[in-house]
Amino acid sequence: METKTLEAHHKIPGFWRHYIFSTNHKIIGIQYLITSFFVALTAAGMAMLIRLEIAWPEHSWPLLGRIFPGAFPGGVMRPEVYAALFTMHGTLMVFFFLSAALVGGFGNFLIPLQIGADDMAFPFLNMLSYWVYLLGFLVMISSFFFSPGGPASAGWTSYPPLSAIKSAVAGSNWGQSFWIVGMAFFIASFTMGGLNFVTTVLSMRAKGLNMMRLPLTTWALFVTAAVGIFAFPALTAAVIMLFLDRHFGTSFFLPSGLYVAGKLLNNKGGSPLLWQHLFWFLGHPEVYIVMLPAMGFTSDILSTFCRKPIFGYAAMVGSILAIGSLSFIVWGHHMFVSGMNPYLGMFFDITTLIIAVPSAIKTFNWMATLWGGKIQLTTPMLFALAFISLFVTGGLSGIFLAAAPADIQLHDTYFVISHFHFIMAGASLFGILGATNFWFPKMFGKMMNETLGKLHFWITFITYYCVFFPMMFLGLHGEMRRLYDPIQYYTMFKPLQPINVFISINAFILGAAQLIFAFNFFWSMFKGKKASSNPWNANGLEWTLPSPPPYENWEGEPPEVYRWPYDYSYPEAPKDYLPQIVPDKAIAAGNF
Amino acid sequence: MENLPIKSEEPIVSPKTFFLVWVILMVLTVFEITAGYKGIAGKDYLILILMLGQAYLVSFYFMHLRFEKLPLILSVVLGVLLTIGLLCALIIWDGTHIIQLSR
Amino acid sequence: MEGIKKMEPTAGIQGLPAQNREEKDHFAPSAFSTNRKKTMMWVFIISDALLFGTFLAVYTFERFISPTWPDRWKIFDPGYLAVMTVVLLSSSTFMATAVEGLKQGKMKRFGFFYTITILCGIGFLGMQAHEWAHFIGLGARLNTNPWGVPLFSGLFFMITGFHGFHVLTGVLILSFIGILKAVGKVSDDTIELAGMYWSFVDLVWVFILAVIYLL
Repeated sequence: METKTLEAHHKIPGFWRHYIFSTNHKIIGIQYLITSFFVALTAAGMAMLIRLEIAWPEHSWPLLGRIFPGAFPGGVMRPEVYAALFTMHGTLMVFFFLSAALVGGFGNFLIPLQIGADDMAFPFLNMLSYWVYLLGFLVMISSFFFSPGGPASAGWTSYPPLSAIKSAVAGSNWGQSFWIVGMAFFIASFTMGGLNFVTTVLSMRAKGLNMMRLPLTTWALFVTAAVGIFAFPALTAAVIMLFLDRHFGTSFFLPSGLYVAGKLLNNKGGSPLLWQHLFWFLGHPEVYIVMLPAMGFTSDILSTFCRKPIFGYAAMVGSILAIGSLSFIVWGHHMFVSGMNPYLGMFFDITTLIIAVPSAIKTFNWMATLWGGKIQLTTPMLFALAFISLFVTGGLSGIFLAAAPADIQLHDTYFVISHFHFIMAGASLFGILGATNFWFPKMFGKMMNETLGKLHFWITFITYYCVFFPMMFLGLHGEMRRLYDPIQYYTMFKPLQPINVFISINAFILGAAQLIFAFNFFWSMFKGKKASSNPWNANGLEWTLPSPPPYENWEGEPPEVYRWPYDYSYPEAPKDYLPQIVPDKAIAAGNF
Repeated sequence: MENLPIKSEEPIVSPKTFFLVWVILMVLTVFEITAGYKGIAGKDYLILILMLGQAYLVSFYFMHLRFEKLPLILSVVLGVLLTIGLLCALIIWDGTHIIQLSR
Repeated sequence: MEGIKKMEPTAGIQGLPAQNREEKDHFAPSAFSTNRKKTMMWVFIISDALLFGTFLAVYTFERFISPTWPDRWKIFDPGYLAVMTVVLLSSSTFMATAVEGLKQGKMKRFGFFYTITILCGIGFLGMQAHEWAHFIGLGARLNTNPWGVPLFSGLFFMITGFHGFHVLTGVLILSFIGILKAVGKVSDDTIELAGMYWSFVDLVWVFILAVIYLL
């Protein structure tokens, strides 16, 4: 008796504890998601300015000159601003949008719901994770306003010596320090989240839900969190050393004999290659941190809208694990032209080609899931299909870059930009958009508008290809990335300039199309059609709860699980789906 | 399967065991520092082995790793050793090239 | 009676029913077969171990590409080093004994060994401070030193500094938890976790000793 009274009531806290400093995983997930969408809009705005500069180099835009008189004197973008923009665009997009939305947003929202837990294992830590993330973003973005010399401008990879010597360029001064502090906050936040996710999945699964009955989304998020735990310490160490190099005169990353502004620096003994190793030791797993969850979402969405079990579940889990662990030994393919040991290049070449195998297994399994399915082309399904398309395009271009001989030609050209915008940025973005459309009813209890969703999808999909596919040709012709003015000094690129104009125009359409999504998101949140508890007739545990779920999902009565979440079109079942909580007895007795 | 208790009954380790472990640790420490100080032939390998011995004792007895389940032991030991081992091995492999270039 | 005993909230995360429940009642067995606090502690330790591991990998790399490296025995005294190591390893032993005593309900043994653990930790910190003073006195700075390899002192300060910081945190945590325990406001689990952290700090020292001082 006492047991019941003690655990029965947990009151919903007041406004501040409920919506702002919330320890509830659903609220934190939504906070993460909305914050990261805001980050994405900011960073997309930066991308628009970058495209404006590349398509019409050093053209004067009086309007911009009036809005940002410091950055656009006379309407022409200063080169320092251009460098700062591409640096911040990369940093914000990779860490503060993609990682945060996928892992912080969907990870928080979905993991407890999909494993039948009431909350994360450590709710307070979870809240801390969000607020530290927000702090990191504010530090990053404040470098635009408060940092003398502007934000960091050594690229999102922050290679030394540019990033390690304060007097190197304007952005290396205070901007780089802001970057370091912002990244430190992000790492702390991600680690706190990762601890929570790993623990939650390991020890809070509902009765009967063993690891091989988990939805692939949860599997992917679990492996992602573990990869983050293993990979981020290397960047933590690197960032600390970069900080010491910059402010305390050590030379971990600085070799002897460097001249800056005609003055010999007295640094000695370090190696800039060390930063590249440490950065990419995180950086490459980071690519999979943003890929894996999107793969998980795609698997679940495909299976639901094909009304078919996912093909090769065990192989899918195996390839998630294989990708997660192989991602730690491929980082050197970012360094083929850095002067790294050529034999080591051969090693990384081979490992990188090996990682294509689990990726291909996943792709073929998605194809096989589609085969013979009753395909329903809803908005989430369209995004999932587009994910596969982008993944294949990006993956095949990746084979070129994995092969060292080809990479030496293509390195640091637009080919690379195209490649990773397809596979890492694009595929993850489409994963996020698909997942938002898919789980939106569960988040807010409302449906997103399908017409607007499809409009958004088609514009985004077509212009995405129009923006990034032509970049491959630019890259094959040798046009380098990060060029402030691609035609004035490199006259051989002049004939290619129309391609850049074409790309930029499409980029503006692509950017504008996201406003449709933003409108749809916020409009549907309030005015959308009311969602039932299971609008897609899906099997996962989250769909057995009302939409939106109660404050404490199962309120102390966790469900019992009898099957995996992919029993679509199960022969004996009366409907074409069979939720995880239905025991076999109930099907036989027909009381489902 | 479902009825397994989540927390296995932890075996009780007597202070005697800890004392024994402590003695071995002390011996290893003395050997290790002496080997390092005297600079005997092959000392590097000896030190590495003694280091791993100490690490084994501390993690498996004092941190109770010995009494955990195999998946946890494997994740911790293999996870950490492989990750750092790979990082170390590969950047040092690269280092051989840097040395050649600087000559 | 049994029901009430089960429901005792674990310290630190009071007030949330999900935590109050005995885990085995409703959940599938954890893959690690530990309770969730211990699982999290292990994951945290992995992450922290990798941070130190990266530092030591960097040390090895910088040393490898450097044409010369200072002879450590001209700088440090092996006897002093041995005492430092003994103090830290012993404190770890005491901590393990204390935790074991706590599990068996032998509070006297627990109190005794717990106190010595903290004293040993403070002793180690003092010795390290003295060693740093000695090292700085010889002219070593973060960016320069008399032995011609500026990276050596930079790495030394960074790595031992980080380790010292962990020891300091450990001493503070142990003292804080000790006070809480004295007034009965902390669970045995938490002390066990603190013990794991303390042994981990010790474990890191084992590697630092070998890589920085001896090899």
